[in-house]
Amino acid sequence: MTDVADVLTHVLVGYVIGTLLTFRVESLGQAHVALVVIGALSPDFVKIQLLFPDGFVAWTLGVPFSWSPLHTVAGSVLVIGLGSLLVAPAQRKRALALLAVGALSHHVLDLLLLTPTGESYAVFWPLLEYRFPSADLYLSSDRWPAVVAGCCALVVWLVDRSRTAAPETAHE
Amino acid sequence: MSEPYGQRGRVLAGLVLLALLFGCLVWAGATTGDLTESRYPDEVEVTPDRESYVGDRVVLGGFVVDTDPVVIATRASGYGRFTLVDADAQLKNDDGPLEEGDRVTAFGTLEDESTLVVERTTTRESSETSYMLLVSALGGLVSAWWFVRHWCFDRGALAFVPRAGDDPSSQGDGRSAIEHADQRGRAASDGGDRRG
Repeated sequence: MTDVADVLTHVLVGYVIGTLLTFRVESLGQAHVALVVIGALSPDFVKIQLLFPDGFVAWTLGVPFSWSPLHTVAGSVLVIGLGSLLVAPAQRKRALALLAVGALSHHVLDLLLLTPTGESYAVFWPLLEYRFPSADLYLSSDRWPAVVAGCCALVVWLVDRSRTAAPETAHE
Repeated sequence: MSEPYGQRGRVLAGLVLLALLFGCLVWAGATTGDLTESRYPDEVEVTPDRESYVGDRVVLGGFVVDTDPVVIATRASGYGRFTLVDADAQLKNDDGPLEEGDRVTAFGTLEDESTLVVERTTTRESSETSYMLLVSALGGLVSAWWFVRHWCFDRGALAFVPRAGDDPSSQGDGRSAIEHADQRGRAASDGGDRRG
C-alpha cells in the first residue's frame, strides 16, 4: 500500500484534466471537474485499510479479506459504477465517463512509481496477475510530483479564470 | 429525466455491483493477498525463518546499523540483521552512500541466512512517509470539499445533481435540478389552489 502516489497529486492531476476537458467540451462545467477529481481519487479508497486493516475486517467478518482490489482496474470499474448510480439519471453517462477518466489518470500515475522490486502492482487483477515493470520516475513519498501537479493546476486555473472573465468583459 | 428502470432497478444494480465488489475483496483475501504490495516475501516472513528462504528473492526493509559493509536491522530493537551486498551501487533514488540510521528497502537474493545480494535498493526518510500521509489526507479533504461545493443532494430524485451554475448544459435559466423541482412543486400547488 505504500507503493502508491500521494492523494494530493492525484487530486491536482484530476483537476487539471477535468478543467482541460471543460475548455474542449462546452457542456462541461465545474461540477464535472469535481467528478474527474473524485475519479482520480477513487483507487485510493484502498487507504481505508489504514483505519480498518485487512486482518481486522477478516476477523470481524470471518472470511479472508483484502481491500487491495479497490486499487485495480476491476475495482475502479465497480466503484465508478456504484458512484454513477448516486447521481441523477440525466448526468449518469457523463458521470461514468468522467469518473473513468479520473481513475485512469490515477492508475497511469501509479504505474510510473519507483518500487523496491522494479515491479508495479497487479493493475489488471483478476483478469491478469501480470505486473508492469515500474517506470521508476518517483517515490510515493517524493514531494516534487505534488509541486509539479500544483504548478500545472495553478496555470490551468489562471487560464480558466481568464476564459470566464473574457466574455463578461466583452458583455460590459 | 426519471430513473430508466425505476428506483428498484437502481437499487438492484447497486446491490449487484456491491456484491461483485465484496466478492473481489474476499477473493483477493483468500488468494493473492495485497495486490499493491510486492509479491516477494518480506522481512516479516524472512527474519524469523531465514533458512527457508535461502536462494529465494526477497524484499527486506529496515534501517542501516553499519555501513562497511552495509548491514541493516529489520527490527526496531536492532535485531534481525542482514548484510547487504552491493547496496550502495544499486541505490535507485539517491546518490548514496547509505549512512547509519537510513531507512532502506532492499530487493535481491538471500545468499545465506544473513546475506542479501542486492538488485535494487531504495531509501526514504521517516518524515517523507509522514508527509505522504499528511498530503494524502489534505487531498481527500480537498476533493470532498470540491464535490460538496458543486453538487447537492436532490431529495426528490434521491440523487446528487449539479448546483446552480455548475452545469453549463442546463444553464438556459441557470438553476439546479432542485430548483426546477421546487418550481414544479410550487406550480402544482398554485394550480391546485386556483382549482380549489
